[in-house]
Amino acid sequence: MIGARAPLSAQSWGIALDGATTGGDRGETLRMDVLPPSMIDRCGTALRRLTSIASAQSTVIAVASPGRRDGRSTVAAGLALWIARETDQRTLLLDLDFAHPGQAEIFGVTSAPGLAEFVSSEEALRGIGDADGRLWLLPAGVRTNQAPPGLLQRLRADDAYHACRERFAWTIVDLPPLLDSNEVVRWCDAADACVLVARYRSTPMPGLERAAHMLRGAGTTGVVVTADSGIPEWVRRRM
Amino acid sequence: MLERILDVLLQRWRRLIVVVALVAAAAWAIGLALDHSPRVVVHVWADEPVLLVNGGTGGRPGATAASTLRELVASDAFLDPILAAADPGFGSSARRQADRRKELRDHLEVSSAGDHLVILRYATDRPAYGAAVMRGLATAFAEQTIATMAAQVAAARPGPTDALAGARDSVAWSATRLGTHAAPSTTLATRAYINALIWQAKADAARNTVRDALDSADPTSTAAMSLQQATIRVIDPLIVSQAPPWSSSLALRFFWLGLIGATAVALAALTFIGMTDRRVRSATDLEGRTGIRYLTSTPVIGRARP
Repeated sequence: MIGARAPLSAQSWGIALDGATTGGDRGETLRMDVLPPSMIDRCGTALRRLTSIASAQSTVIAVASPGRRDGRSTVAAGLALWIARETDQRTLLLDLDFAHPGQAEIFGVTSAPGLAEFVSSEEALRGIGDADGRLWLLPAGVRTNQAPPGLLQRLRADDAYHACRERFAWTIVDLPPLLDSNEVVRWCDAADACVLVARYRSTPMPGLERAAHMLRGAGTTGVVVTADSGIPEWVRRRM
Repeated sequence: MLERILDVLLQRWRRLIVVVALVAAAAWAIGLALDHSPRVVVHVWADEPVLLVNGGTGGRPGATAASTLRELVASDAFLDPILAAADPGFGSSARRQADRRKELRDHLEVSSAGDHLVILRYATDRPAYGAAVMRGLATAFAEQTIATMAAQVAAARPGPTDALAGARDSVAWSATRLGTHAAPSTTLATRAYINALIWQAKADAARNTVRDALDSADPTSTAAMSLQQATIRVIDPLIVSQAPPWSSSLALRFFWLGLIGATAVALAALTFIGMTDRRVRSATDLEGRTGIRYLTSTPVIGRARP
């Protein structure tokens, strides 16, 4: 059930985040070997190519895609893992895809209670950290067949990002599909950079064009193509 | 557009090869099934002396004989006496002559098997005529081979006498230049030159033995006949076979037709797919159509994530 909770302020977010990231939950710990090194390295390449954000003190990167099954959650996890592996900065991975939460599954942890419960029923926000306390995951919560209408609307991107920036050097946000909700665009616009994910030989070009059009107001934006079939990148660049 | 078509090709090249190969194989099988012409088959044995036809440069006698015969069949002067002997009406009209030549060239297959065997297959609906042609062909080929070898030995070739004469000329030439230029060779160098020529002659001795035999041979003599027997001979009786060989010319024609046709259709299909398929296929295409910078691509890591 979704309660009638008022939009969270940056302060409320901050308190919730502090509570979630102080001490583990149920003894669960994020494993760092959930993705192949080659995948994490490619995500690092993508991050380095977004050079304009490299000098920022704290950075929020939104990861979006036109539709489902484009590999968005994997790319978001890869970005977070690369940052955690290559830097000693605190990183937060935020799963906002309430309809199809993927991060908990990728990291092999329980998804609920998560952000959905925190927003809808005022449960405490639950964070799961790695052994060193550098990478933190805020899972989306109970998987629902359909995203509760307005659940994302109850969260204000600016306030959430503000609280995250104060506490984490990097925040990676795994968003729902862009074409499913206009709300997603606001979260992309408010981020410092946006990574648009498309699946090679799968994502329809018209959908991608529409998503790109929706993101025209966002900051630095780049495209990551997932499910590469093994063709060397220099060949792909020429293609 | 080209990169999209290339990507479709990269995506489907295995299927493409399988389909093209299947179509070509099916076309070949159809050609084989449709080829009902009986074949007159002759097995010819070629021995080492046949290599002299190509100047004695080594190789396999069977392959040399087969390639020589293929060249000869292209010549009207070689074919006409054979066809005239097999077909009494051959000389009746130029049109008939041209038809007979073309028919033979189109339906004669010459191949080699192993080092020495040359197989001649002639597909014809008239086995008696075919047998006469093939007999004439084998005989004319053997005679032509001997004639070619005999013509070759008429050319100058190195020998001890020639070598000494060459050396003498060389020394004489050097002497005439004395007074204006330094002598081009010393006594020692002249001797080394003569020795080298003699060694070359010795190395050629084996071939010269055959050449000497040919030098003195009268084509009608027993010696020439035995040399011919030692070079080219028909080893089996003529066979009239109903089964087309794997290399049936009709089947091969169908095979190439199927291969080229299937490749053309497959490429046209790929182009059509490349033009109509709207999925992400290339970085340039992606950047051009969205205006967003391409960052990288990630590998396939198993099942798709949400």
